Amino acid sequence: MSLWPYRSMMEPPMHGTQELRRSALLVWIIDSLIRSVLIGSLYTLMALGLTMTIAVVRLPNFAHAELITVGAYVAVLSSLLCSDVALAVALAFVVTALVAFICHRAVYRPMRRRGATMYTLVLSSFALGLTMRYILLVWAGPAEMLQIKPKIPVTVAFTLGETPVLSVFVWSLPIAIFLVLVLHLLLHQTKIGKMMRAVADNLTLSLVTGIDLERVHDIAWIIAGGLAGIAGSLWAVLYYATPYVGWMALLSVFAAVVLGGLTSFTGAIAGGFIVGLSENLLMELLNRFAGLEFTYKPIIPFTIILVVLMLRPAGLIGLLPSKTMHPRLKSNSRDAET
Amino acid sequence: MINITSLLITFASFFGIYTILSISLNLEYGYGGQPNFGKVAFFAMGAFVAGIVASRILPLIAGMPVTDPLGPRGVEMRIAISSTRPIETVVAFTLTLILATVVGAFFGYIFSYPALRIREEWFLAMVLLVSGEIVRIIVRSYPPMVGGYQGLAGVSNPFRWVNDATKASTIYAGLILTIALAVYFLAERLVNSPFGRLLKSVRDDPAASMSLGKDIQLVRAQVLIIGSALAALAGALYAHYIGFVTPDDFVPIRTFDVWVMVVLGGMANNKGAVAGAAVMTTIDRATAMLAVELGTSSTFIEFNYVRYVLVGILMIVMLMFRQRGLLPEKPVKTPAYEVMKD
Repeated sequence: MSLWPYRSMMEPPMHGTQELRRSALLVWIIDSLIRSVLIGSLYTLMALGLTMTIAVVRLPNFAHAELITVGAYVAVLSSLLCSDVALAVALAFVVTALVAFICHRAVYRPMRRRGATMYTLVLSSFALGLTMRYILLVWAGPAEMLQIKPKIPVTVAFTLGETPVLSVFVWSLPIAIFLVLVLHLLLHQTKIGKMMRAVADNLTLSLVTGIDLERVHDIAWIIAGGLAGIAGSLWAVLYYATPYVGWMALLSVFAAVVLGGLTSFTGAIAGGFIVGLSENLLMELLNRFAGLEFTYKPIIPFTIILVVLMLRPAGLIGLLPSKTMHPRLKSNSRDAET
Repeated sequence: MINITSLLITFASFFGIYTILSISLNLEYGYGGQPNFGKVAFFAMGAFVAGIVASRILPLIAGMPVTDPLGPRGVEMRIAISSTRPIETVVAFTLTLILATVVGAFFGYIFSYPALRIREEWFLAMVLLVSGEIVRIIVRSYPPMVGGYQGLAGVSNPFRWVNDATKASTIYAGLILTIALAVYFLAERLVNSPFGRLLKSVRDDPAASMSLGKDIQLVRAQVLIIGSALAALAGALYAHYIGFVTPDDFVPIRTFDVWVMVVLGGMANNKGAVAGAAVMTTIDRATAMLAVELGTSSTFIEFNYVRYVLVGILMIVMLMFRQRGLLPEKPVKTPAYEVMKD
């Protein structure tokens, strides 16, 4: 069984007359494109949360994966009560934000107070994620929830030309756009958002101006967790929930974040959609025209991470004029980190 | 009932393999400051080399044609050779160990390329983690090498020709422990030599070492080469111990296990690395045993998963309350230091 969730809704057309083949190919490409955008919007939500922790809290949080998984299982559990998507998404937001907040207060904050280096924090996030993943496995086995779909019916909402569009798509994309807008307003129009951006830009300077770092961190964790939870719940509705869901998506999400330049929210959105497109449309095209097996699919985000980190750590944002580029990436000194 | 002899043999074998791994990571991270999050890739390479040698070169050495190396007939042939032809088997095994070390060192050099160019510390961790996964996925998707996701069976104990299973595995466990001991002494020599002091200086203050004319990139590459070679050696020993090579055995969690050993035992202290390996082996064996015992009595909790929960919590607790580990770093032993102490 491949744990990497992949399911093509349509087989690429192989037979028929030229005319028929061409129209079938078009349907197939539209289908693939829709799936890419769907996955891309979920990756974007996950990537925004991860960017939040990297930019504001300065922690590449490997336990982000398990926040996604928690969101997926919350959707499963809430669907037992009521098969409403809105309820599942809202509950996923609340529960996962709480879990992220608890992780922050119970592990990361005490550790930082003891003067842990960024490196120790990365290791501990890895450990925390592992612990959560296996606790979920220990629980899910006896509860017979190792691989389960939420009881939320996925229907064909409408057809675009001849391509069926699933209802998940109709929910995911507007939710993603809405959340991105809310996040934008929060970061640019509210005081706490300004504080967050200040902390992300220059920690020392923001502390000098008297910003309450504790509060900024709390809010950042809540947002990061909540976004991961929403993405996880929609992911579960689309595919299914397993304790590995988040871990399987994590490196793709990291690819999106790295591509976006690590600390840029705009970059994370672009990165999420690019990774979604390249894992679906590009992969299917490669499979069809270059005969690449689907087992090689995870290589795509990995290659993105390798190439970007080694050649251009500033990511996509580094391509823009330097005004928008993050000062931390511009400077050559390592000690800007601390 | 639990068989004490086989338990001890298993414990000794795993302890030896884990010790080699944790010493190699300790050299890289504890002394050299290079966060190798792709440890498992080199461990895996050793195992793949063992699989390739056992399936292709062993029959050649024994003077037989290499037919169907990945299928059941190949497995039969391998087992037949290693049960009846001691000299050929041992020669092939020695070749495996040498080749694994060389391959590990070579890829260590290749992987050190990003290490010399990456700015932030965790970028390197990320790059190595991802490279490790790439190695696994390529081998998994490319069956002609070691059978793809189905793996390769019949990489047998090199002492199979001793016509007694217990005796053979005892000898093999002894061999693993001997190699681990040799690795330990090698590492001790290394870190107490001028090279060891150079490593520590590069770890603590690269700028200062550079100002004294040291080539810090070269030192970093060297320590990654040594660590990777040792990890590949451990991988080859592991493959011959479990008798089976499959890419899916080499997931990132294995890297994490090695990290737990080093953090638990104490960074930059080889005795600590050994202690960490001992604790890890104990947890490993205890939970595996409980899983088997409880599995037969049909309890609800899967103990193989409980192992990871325990290890994760242990890691968090160590990082939070005792970052220096069980046995903290000691000053370097130099002749001058010995004189000063007297």
